[in-house]
Amino acid sequence: MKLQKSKSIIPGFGLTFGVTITILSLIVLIPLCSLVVYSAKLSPAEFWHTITRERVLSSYYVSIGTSLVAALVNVFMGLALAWVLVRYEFRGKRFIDGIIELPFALPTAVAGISLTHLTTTNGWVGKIAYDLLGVKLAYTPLGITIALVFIGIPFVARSVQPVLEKFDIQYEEAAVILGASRLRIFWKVIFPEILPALISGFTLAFARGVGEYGSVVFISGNIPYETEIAPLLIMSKLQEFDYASATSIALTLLLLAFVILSVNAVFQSIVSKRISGLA
Amino acid sequence: MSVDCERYYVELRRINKSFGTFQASRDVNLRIQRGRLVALLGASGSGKTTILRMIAGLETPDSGEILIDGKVVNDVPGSERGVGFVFQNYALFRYMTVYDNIAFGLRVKKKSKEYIDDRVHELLKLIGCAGLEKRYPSQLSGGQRQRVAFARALAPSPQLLLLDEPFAAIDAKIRLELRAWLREMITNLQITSIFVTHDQDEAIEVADEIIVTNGGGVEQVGTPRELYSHPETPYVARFIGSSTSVKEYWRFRFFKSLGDQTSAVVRPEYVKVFRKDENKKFAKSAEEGIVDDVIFRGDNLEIRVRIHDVVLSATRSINDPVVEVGEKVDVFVYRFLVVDGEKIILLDNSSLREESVVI
Repeated sequence: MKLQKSKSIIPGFGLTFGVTITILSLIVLIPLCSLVVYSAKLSPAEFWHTITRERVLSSYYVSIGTSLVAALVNVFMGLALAWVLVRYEFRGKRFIDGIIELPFALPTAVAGISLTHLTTTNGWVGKIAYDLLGVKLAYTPLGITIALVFIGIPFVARSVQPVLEKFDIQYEEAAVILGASRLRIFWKVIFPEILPALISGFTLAFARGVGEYGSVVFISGNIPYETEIAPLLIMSKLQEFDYASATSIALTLLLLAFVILSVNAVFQSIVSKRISGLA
Repeated sequence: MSVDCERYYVELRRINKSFGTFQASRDVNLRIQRGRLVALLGASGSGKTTILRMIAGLETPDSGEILIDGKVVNDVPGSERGVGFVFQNYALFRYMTVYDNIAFGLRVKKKSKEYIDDRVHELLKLIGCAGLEKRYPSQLSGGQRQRVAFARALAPSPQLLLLDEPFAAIDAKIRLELRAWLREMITNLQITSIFVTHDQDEAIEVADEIIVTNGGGVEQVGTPRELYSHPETPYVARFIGSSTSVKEYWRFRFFKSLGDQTSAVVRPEYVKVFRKDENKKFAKSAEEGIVDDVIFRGDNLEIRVRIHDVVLSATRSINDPVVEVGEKVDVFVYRFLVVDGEKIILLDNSSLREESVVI
């Protein structure tokens, strides 16, 4: 109602803002509210009991643990990928640049099945790992992590890439003339510049990993207390028509995702204030 | 040879540099004396920045030698050439405070904490930014950033200071202030300095010596006064000061044709415009022209006067009697810079000698 009073010079605010709110409500807010409504059918004690059952807790543990490790791995791999794509010229660069998004485009189940196939003790990769190191990949938390690394890699690579591209070579040259070694230049000059993008990519990959279902169910083997992930537990509660339990677990995941993204948002705003001189 | 090494701190010998098909440096030869403040002046794309970057070791010449303090430094990395570099956009590290920026070069050299602290504070005082050490570059004004960039470059005590367009990113008013400041700083520190600029006023005001670059080569080297009064090439004659090209200069009275040369350059300082009823020095030698335009320049008036089918510029003081557009006036030209192939010949009004004798 106050919106009308301070008219912006740029036209179309009312229309675009209306569309934004409508779509956001239809697609995000209302479904999320329904989660709360369904969960509210349980009393607080029942709710607490549902989300703290041992099997549920261990599923959180598996989901969060593997997502965290996968996101960390992705920070390194995504950084290396972005670095190579921005800093060097080589044949096939455009091809590699193009296939980074493949994990986004591919149906996650396809990724899950092919990764499982590769990593079982009979698969190409799984056999080597088992024969050489005695490590089983598929049907272990390690397998879940592999699937999550696959799913999450575009987040970090695509967050860091534009920042590296924009990074002015003058900063490095200034450091070179002052005598800094390459390692020091990376840590002191380049790393602080890309850190916000890295963290942003990390949180996105992490949040996605926690909620990832399709690619993980095949490779995890779904052994309760060991490789059963939280989204799968929700799925099985739904199949048992236990909607209240399913939504309770989902609500917990939602809160977790919210916390992760908020932490990122707070960090980003601190950094951007420093850069824009408002700190 | 050894005498040369003593006298010239920086020397470039037959330097060539290409980027792809673009030749940025064309047989560049330069000598810069110790302790001098030198400007590399040229239009954009004239190769001035490339020269600076090669001296700093940020580019490698395709051929030729770069000498600093008598030693060939082609294979010496930039960090070991004893140079400080101030970048056009200052390139202050955004995530470091002013203190950390200035201390960067000292920490790299593993100086003691006490030494770094003393040196940073000394420099902060020198640049008049004491008390700003905890700020981030984004919290500084343009002028302060430039000063901090200057301090950062000076921190490791370089023997040679290189500045790339040091005033380009600063608004006009502060620029004048900073020019004077920088000149004073560098003169006091007695550090050999080379700065790149495309602004001739800047070069003339700040530098002891100017190197004019054009098309990758060096056109002329000289003091600002020399470049102004004795340009050696047509390019310099046109580039320095404001100038008008005149095709048939021999049509003006008291100027004889110097042969095949077909054109000349004239500056506003060489043209005097008088009202018909004004007392004037060269009454007999003046010619009639018609005022084409009068432009107010704040502290003076630019008079465009049409004479012999060309429009010449001249300046008149605000206090002089007013001339109107369309008015017939007397015009006296002191001097033409006659273009002779790749050379410039100074041609003075021949009546100058005669009249001075008469008077």
